Amino acid sequence: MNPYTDQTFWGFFATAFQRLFQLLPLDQWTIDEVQLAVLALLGVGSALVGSWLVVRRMALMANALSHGLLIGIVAAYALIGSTHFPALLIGALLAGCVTSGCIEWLTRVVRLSDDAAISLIQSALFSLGVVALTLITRDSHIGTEIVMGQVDALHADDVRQVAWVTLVNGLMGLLLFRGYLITSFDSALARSLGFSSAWYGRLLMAQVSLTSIVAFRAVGVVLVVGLLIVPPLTARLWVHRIGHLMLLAAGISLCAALVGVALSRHMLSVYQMPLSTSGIVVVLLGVFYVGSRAAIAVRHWLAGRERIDGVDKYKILDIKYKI
Amino acid sequence: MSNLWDLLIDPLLRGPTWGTILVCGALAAVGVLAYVRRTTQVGELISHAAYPGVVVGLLLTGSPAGAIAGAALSALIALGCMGRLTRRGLSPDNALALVLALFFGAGLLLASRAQFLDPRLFRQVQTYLYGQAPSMTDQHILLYAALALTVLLAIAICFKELQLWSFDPTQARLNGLGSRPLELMFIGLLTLSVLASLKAVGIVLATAMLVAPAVAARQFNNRLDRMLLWGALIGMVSGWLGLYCSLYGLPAGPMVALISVAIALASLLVAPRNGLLVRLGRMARFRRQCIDENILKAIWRAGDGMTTLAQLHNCVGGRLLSLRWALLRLRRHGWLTARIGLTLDGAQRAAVIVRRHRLWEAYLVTSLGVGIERVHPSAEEMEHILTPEVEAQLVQLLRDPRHDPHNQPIPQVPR
Repeated sequence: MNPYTDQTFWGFFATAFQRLFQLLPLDQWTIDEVQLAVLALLGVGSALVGSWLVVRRMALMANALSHGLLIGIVAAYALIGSTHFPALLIGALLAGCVTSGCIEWLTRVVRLSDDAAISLIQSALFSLGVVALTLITRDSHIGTEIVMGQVDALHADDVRQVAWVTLVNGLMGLLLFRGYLITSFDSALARSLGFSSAWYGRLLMAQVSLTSIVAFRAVGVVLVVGLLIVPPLTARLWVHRIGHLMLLAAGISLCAALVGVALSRHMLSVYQMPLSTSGIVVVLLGVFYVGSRAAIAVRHWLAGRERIDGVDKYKILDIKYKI
Repeated sequence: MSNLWDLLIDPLLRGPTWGTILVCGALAAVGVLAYVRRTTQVGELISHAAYPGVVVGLLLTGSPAGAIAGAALSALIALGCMGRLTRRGLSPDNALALVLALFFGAGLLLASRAQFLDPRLFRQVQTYLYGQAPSMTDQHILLYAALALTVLLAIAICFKELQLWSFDPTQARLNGLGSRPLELMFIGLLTLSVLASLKAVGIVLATAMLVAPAVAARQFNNRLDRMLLWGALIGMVSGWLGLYCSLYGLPAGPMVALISVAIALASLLVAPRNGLLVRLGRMARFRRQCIDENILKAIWRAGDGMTTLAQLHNCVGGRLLSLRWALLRLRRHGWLTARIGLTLDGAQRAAVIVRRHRLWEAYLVTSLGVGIERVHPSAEEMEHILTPEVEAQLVQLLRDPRHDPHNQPIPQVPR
């Protein structure tokens, strides 16, 4: 019996809080708790990676990579015959290498423009994936699942995998912080100190494929981009230091996961309306972004009314500090 | 099994075939414009952002027309959002990824609602993801012919303005050409053709049709009008071939995309002027020519003193194997005797190279005032590049010198 059945939004949190202190082993967690854990951990991990993506302007590369992942998953399924963790991991890393390698080859060796190379490779790999999938499985069910995610089919193993990946992302965030920082913001200094910008970019793409591969079961490959990009962009509106950006983005993701899972249960209990939990989480992230924009607009408007001797306070700041 | 031509006339198959061909042509023509403006990813945005509109349109009206109208509306809203965000200082790629992910997320949310309300409708929604070409009928031919004609006419009428606006926006503004109406028209055409392609290639794959034919067309042309024609043609051919594959049980939309990408990659590799393999071949030929000429020069300089391969290797450097290979090549040309020695032809060839080397040194010193000690490396490179015409000009300019700056004689070569 699922203790969350017929719980409302606040009731969900009350139950979750109570059960938190029972310290149940992972196998006895209910589907709601598994969803919550996976989405929260995933949100934190991808926010940490996504912060670097946003400041390095590699969002579209991440989008291309998420398309290329399909062929990796299909290859893992076809060659090793399983969609479980080690096979998927190899498939994903391979797909990541192929995608970013092809794009790099097209832009550097063939001298195609960035956007054309990205569009070309992402659509090629994605259609290759769909064709391979059709040949292997003769139905598009897995395809739909890969694009859409299947948050209701998660189980305890997924929590472990996501936890590992989030741990890896967190450690990388700490250990390689300076390398990422310097290669993102001052490539000249990075070169003179011996940090390779290209290799840090490739490492970041590897982290993105690692994150996407555990995310695809929960949210699907397209929405991974949302989890990667939206929280850091929201956080970017409020803070100006990369460390703060990463922490705030992780917080925003965590918040969206908590509210999203509870809201999904609430809609089911109260309105008998089953909705895609991952869809709710991404829409919530969008709401946070728009809300932040609005809040900042209001703040500017209020500040614009505070004038010093008839001069806008923000104008003075603008002139003095060029911000 | 029917062959390629039957596809075009068979009463059951001609609907999907001509529909796909026309849609792909229109998409590819607009794609050429997007490619030269470096905004191919906007197609990606339109195709993904149309998803929530498709779901809402189907839920509300239950008809394909409703789906298309909803798709158009949500795509335009997404484009508006992106424009607003970029004007507020977000970088275009971040803005694009943000809007794309949020709209697709909203689409998923709505689709999960549709799945619960009406599973049959949900399956219909899914067909818009990957396209469903085989379900097109003769009516679609008319519809898509009208679309292709609209796109073609619009581009043809505004061709001059579009060209100026794409390549030189500043000049376009100076000529009193507002960028706003053109941009709106471009976006309108883009949205129209991406949405029309939903049925043929599906939401997820429209990007391929936008970018791949344009990339291929660019390899063979450097004029916008020809690029447009070639692009449309390549798009139509890949639509046709892709549909042919669908007869063998492969999904039509992805196959169309794959074929167009294959054409693009092939032309990136082997196009006559810009192809990668062609460029690499040209480089390899030049490198080989340099090796050959250096060998000839070394033997010519040494006169009778060069008898063994080891001596030659000392003089020229490089790997021994490639040296042996080069000697074989030179003998076949008739420039080298069976042992290490020059034939008459070879001697003349070597003399030409040494002559160019010394002429260039003389030119650098007398005409450009470069120091004598610094001219040799430059001449080592230029001796392989100078043409007879340039040589004649140098001779005229320097009044046919007999000695180079190092006081070495400049060999005279009989014509």
